[in-house]
Amino acid sequence: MSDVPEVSVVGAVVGSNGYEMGPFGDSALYLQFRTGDEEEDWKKAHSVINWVRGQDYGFVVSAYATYETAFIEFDPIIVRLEAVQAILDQLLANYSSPLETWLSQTRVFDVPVVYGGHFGMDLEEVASEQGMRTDELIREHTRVPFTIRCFSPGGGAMMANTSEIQNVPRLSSPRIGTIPPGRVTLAGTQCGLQPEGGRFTSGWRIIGCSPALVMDFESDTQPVQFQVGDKLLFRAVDKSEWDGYRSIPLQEIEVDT
Amino acid sequence: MTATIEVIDTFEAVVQDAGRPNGDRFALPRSGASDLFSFRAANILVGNPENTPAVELTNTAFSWRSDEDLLVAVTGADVTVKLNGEVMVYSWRPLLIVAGSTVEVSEPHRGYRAYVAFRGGIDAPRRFGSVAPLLERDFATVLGPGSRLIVLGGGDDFSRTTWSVPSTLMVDAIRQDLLGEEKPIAVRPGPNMNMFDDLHLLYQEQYEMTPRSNAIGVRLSGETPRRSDPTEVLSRTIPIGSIEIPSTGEVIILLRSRLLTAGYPVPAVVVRADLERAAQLRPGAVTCFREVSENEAYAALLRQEVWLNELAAYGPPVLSRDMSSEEK
Repeated sequence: MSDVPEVSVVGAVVGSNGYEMGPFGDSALYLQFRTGDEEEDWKKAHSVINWVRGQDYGFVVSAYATYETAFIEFDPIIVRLEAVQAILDQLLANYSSPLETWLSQTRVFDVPVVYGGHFGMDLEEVASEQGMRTDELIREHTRVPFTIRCFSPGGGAMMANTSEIQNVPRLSSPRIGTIPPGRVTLAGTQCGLQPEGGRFTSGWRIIGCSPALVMDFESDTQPVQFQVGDKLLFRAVDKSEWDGYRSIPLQEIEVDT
Repeated sequence: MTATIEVIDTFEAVVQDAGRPNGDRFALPRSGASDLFSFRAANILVGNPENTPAVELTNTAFSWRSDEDLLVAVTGADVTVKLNGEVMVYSWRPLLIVAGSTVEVSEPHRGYRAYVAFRGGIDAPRRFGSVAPLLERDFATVLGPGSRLIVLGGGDDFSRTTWSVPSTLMVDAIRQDLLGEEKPIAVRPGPNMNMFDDLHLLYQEQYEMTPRSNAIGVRLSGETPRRSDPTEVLSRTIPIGSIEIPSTGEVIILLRSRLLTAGYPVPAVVVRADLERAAQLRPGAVTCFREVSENEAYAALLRQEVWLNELAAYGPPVLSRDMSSEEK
């Protein structure tokens, strides 16, 4: 029945239509998309989650999508696992483009970044690993906007790095402690933009920092300007300009694509 | 009306609620009371909506003085409550505290986390709709000696109130269920159970809670199954209650402040009804795991909900001034 080769997963229903669904404990289930096309998997995972959130179901406690997985926590007092599974199976059987309308409203935001030095302690090393000069790496990193794939744990954006800077190795020993504000990070084929403050332990390479307000933790209603699916276009600024951009929310810009 | 509470002594007590259900929109952890059952019960006992900010004590004592009458409930871990130095009724009862009194809640004798709810609730700053600590952002209302708390319902006239514990509620049974260490923690199999050799060890061995635990996870030590499949697990969302075995000899049960995503394989998940028992394990406590069916997990959760519903059906509590002495 399954044409998706996969390790056996307990209780999971491996569908022939490119996804696998299964319980994750007694009050959650996961969906993993495996169409063979990363972009397609990501679109489906987020389309499902956007749809679930839009339904305003009383039994949904939490709904979240990453790169190619979707996760739904439900209240088992109100609904049983099989019912949630049935709802999702039905949705995916009738999956159609209207579910992806959230992708047609995407915007591009300008992200001023001070690269290198104290602001990006890994810049020189990453550039040399990539066989580039630092100015070449900065030019490449600022050349094309990156699509936000999901929010990163603790806030901030995780992007698909579609530049030619690829396969950036993580630090062998994760960095702990001092936290540069608005840090711009690279790892593998991903790029991250993390808000100011908080604690972190991370092996991602820090190439710069943005003085802009990435996430406003004082605001309950609109803490971030961007949504999943929007794009961020990085722009190099001089450190003398830091104060001028300080704490200003990210600005939407027009970009010819 | 409001009342001001002056904290005399405590260590890292926090103002807590049920957390941030919408935090996941920005990849923020749920957070909130680690023992949500006891937190809800404390609020119900004083007639508050269930999700009213209260004080969470993690293995610490808590003493305070107030300038107004207060209606208070202490739940969760087993503690001794003293009023002006005299031992009062034990916990899980609404208590009328007269203006000017000093109240001391002891460190737990059994269990790890206690909850102190005040009628009307505590006024504290919120982030994303919740007062719960947000560890990633260094946000929390932490209490220490000299801290002041504003109680929104303080100073109301509680003098003519009455409340009786319905005999069918069996408070002691619920406490035993929550704090009894001899009962195994119930789990459901996790999606990555096949990535381990000797998974049966998880259900045979005893595990000891270590002090390196916090609101993110309970760390246990003991003989663990070994990971046999080295395939990288891509970072994905994992539920509260997930069990991780990050290295040999170490088991982590993730609690409500867990990060939304992780890349460790999950061999089993603690069922909703037993999350509170996991959160009540104290350093040195020994526990074990038992796999249960989906129906058993549901039945256990249903029992808790029914109990809380019954408790709420008797509220709001109305307490006579001399009830505490009658109780003892």
